[in-house]
Amino acid sequence: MITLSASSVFAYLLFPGGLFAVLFGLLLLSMGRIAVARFQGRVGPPIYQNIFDIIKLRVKEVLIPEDVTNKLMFCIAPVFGFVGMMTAIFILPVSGVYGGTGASSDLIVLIYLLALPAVSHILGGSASGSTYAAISVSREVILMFAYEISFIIVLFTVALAAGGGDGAQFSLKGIVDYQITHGSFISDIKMIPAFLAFVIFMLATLEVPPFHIAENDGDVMKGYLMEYSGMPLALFEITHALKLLVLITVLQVFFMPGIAGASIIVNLLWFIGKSAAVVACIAFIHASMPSFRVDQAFKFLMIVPILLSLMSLGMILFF
Amino acid sequence: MGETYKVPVGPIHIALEEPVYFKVTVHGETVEHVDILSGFVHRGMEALVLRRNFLQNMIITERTCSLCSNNHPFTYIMAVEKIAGVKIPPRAEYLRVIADEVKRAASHLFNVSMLAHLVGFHSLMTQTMETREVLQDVKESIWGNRMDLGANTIGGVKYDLDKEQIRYLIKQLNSIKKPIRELAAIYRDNRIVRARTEGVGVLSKEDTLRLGVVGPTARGSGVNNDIRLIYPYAAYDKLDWDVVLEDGCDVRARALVRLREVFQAINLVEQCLKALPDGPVKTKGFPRIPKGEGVARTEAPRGELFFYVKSDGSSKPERMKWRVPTYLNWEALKVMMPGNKIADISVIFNSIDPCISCTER
Repeated sequence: MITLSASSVFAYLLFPGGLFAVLFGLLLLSMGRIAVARFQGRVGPPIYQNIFDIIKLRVKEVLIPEDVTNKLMFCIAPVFGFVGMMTAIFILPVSGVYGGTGASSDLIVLIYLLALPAVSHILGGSASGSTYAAISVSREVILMFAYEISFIIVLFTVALAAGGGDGAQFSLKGIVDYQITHGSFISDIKMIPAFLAFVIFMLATLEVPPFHIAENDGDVMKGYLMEYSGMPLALFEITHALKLLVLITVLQVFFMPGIAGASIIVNLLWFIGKSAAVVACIAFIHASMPSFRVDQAFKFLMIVPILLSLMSLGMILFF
Repeated sequence: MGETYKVPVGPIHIALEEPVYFKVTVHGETVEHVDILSGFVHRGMEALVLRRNFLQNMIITERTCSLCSNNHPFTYIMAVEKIAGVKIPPRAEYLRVIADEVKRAASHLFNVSMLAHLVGFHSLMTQTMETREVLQDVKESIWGNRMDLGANTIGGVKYDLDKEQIRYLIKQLNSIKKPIRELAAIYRDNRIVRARTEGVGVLSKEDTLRLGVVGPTARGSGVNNDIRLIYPYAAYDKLDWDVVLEDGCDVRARALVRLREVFQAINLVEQCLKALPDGPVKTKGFPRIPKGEGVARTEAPRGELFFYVKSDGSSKPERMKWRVPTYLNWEALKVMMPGNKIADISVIFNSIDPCISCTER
């Protein structure tokens, strides 16, 4: 049960959610861009670039095109994803730093929260009345259908594994605690396929190559973001940064929640270090892959990650 | 999305380097029909050249487009030389081939790097561009410019290579062989690049012949129409080389033709440097252009380039007309695009190596 206390308001608005998460997420985005640039032999932007982008967009005029089909939806669409991600950060535990809300089945809530940024893309894109946005939205829906399946299988696999043969553990805090006492899942051979499936899910939902499809510059330009400007666009960018942070945190909760010591500061630095390492890995994949076409990506996502996650699920259930 | 709708691609679109407008009729994600509208960068060059003399026109034709900027003055000059009956010195013939092939290699590398960009492989794009940068350095060091070489003049060439420049050229060309071989392997074998290019934008051999498609676009469909071979000019008949042909008929085949032609270009330059005869690089003085008509064809990086020049005996041409390869190739887009996905539009468009500023001049 979550009660409205000073500490939960603090956690939602300042640390580890809210301000800290936004700034850290934006820094992670910039770090990813720099890492990709270095892999490609470029210099890349300065580390504070994404924060500056937000500050710039803050002062820009908000333009609403005349042929927007639903003005209200167009304006409030970015809020869904933003709020979803803020809440996700709030309920996610950071091992050794923050215990999350401690609710007994917050893992289920996470499924819904993680889908919200895509929902907000779909709502905003389809309300904007642009053909490019319409194409990009249809692609996002197709991909979402494919990657959500493998995510849910991974999620249940983790829940079962954290149950330790005694039912499933649907509390995020419980999953973290189980791994701290029994060892991280990443070192468990049975969970490696699920880990890979989760990484593929991360790439697909972050729209990093090979899944840079829905907002591919080459054909639909910016896709659902096409008509956005000013603050709503900034909100989309912040949501993207938060989504990156949320996914990295989920990855750590599911597979590598190990702590570095008893001190909160040390654990926080350890968390930041692990996050940066994950971002570097994503950047490496980003830099070394071209993008699929939507039909190819759908086929890939329907086969590879689902098989991988089912493999783990089978091993957890039967061995 | 079951019904048919129209997607505008262009005139200003991220995937297009130059302004051209495709009205694409789409069913779901599949392209059904394409309408091509052009004329956004018309500069009236064919009228402009009539107000300049033959020497000034060398400069104007070079500014038609940047990537094949050597071939325009080259072909124009060959047409004028035919009217004037000028025979250029043998050393100039070889030097013309060298300038042409260096430009061709750079142009082809540019095109395949754009392909990498359009399939979302930005690392491959930056690597290809980095390799191309060596050729840009070569151009800058030898001809003094990164794009417009200004290599040709009526009666020969404007530059000469001394021993040190030849050594430098050979060294630089050798240094890019290995990177290009590695890049070509990625274009050929990377699974996702293959998935994005194989079977995309198919242009059958029959359609290629019917539409009169030229250049690497046709050679990717197995049609040999290399002007360098079937209508040799400069020193091409004295060199040992074979036409590059692929029979995939798709975007991948065209990219592979271009990559193999980069090696061929390097090889041709090396052969020229070896066989470079001594002597002058230009005939003495400037010839008088008599009354008459002249026609010249060359193989530009994009295909056959055709120049018609008519002179009335004055210092200015009476009529000049040039036909560029993209003019023939973009009709083929209407055959290539239907049946492919929206994501392939820009990939297919790039595969004909379009040059809008040439075509609309």
